Amino acid sequence: MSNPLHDLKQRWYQAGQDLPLSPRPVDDLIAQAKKSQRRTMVYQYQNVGVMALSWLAVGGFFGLWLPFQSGLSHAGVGLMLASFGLRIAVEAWSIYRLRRLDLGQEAQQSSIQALRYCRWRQRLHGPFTFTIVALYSLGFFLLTPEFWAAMPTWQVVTIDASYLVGAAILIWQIRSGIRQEMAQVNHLANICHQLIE
Amino acid sequence: ARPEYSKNLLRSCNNFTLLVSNRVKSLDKVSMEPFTRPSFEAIYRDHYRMVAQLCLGFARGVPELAQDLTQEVFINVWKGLSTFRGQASLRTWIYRVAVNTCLRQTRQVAAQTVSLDQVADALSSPPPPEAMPQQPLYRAIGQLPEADRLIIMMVLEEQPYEEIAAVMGLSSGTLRVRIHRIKQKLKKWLTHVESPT
Repeated sequence: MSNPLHDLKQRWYQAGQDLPLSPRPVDDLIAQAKKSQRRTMVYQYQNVGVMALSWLAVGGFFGLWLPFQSGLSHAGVGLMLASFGLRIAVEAWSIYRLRRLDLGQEAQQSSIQALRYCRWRQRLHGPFTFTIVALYSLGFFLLTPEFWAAMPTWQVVTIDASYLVGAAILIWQIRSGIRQEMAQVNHLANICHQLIE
Repeated sequence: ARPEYSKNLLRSCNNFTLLVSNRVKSLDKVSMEPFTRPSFEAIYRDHYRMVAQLCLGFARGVPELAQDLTQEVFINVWKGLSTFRGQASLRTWIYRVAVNTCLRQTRQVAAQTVSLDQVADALSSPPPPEAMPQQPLYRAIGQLPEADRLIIMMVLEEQPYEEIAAVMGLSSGTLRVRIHRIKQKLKKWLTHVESPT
């Protein structure tokens, strides 16, 4: 009587001998690994770097080039810089958390860790980012009275309208990012369910 | 009573001293055996076949996907090698990296995040029998849920159950029950596919 598992093992062994995949030269693979690592680091630091430069530009513009006089405008600029700064800090924290994910852990623990991270990113891209955008927008519109005092009405309306268009595009991008995060969360949740059952 | 109390106290102090000196001796032993991190080239050479076959089984026998996945696994091994300190055996650690890499795989198709199985289904056109005679085995394994696929492949690789449990993060008892169920499913599927019509 044949042992089914023994037969399967024989077939598996034979399949291993007939593998249709050929190994890449190790030097090529190392070069590819270094490139991948560099690309990830550049993407992460670029993201935070661009945001930080934008923060400095906004601060420099409203602080030095176009300094406001009224208390309401100062509050507006403060709200814009604080909300933007908070977003940058959270993004830097997110990069730190990503680096701590360890593929060398047991699969169950690693998957749970990855799921927690993705759920946290989902919350970050969802309610938290919308709140930041709302606070930033509030700060921007607090500047309108002083704009009105210094510029013709049509210019103020143009500035505010263009901001609204920019905000709408940003919100659309955020929603598309949330959909992708949701798909990733669902995938990892399914994996965790398989490992925990 | 006083001499009895003193004897007990002396005995406890002796036991404590013995405990501490044994601990110090064991620390000396550990410090005399420094951990030598293996080279990436040696790891790649020694484990390529094992990882490639695991990825081929995970990718439902689709060679193009398996090639990408294998590369991804070794890139992750390269990235994680500096943090590997011999807490688990090298083989266990590589299996963990391979399993975690496979489980987290998704692809972006037309701005949507889809699972690797969906990509495999879209790509799979059966190769000629002479190119991959064990294709039915890979397809049968591919019918299992992702975690079960990886478990059964490690069983077919003749890994000890304790090692498989250490890779997946499951208890030995749970693992044995799962392996039994997986074998039943696999046998049923293979019989169905290969029985004469």
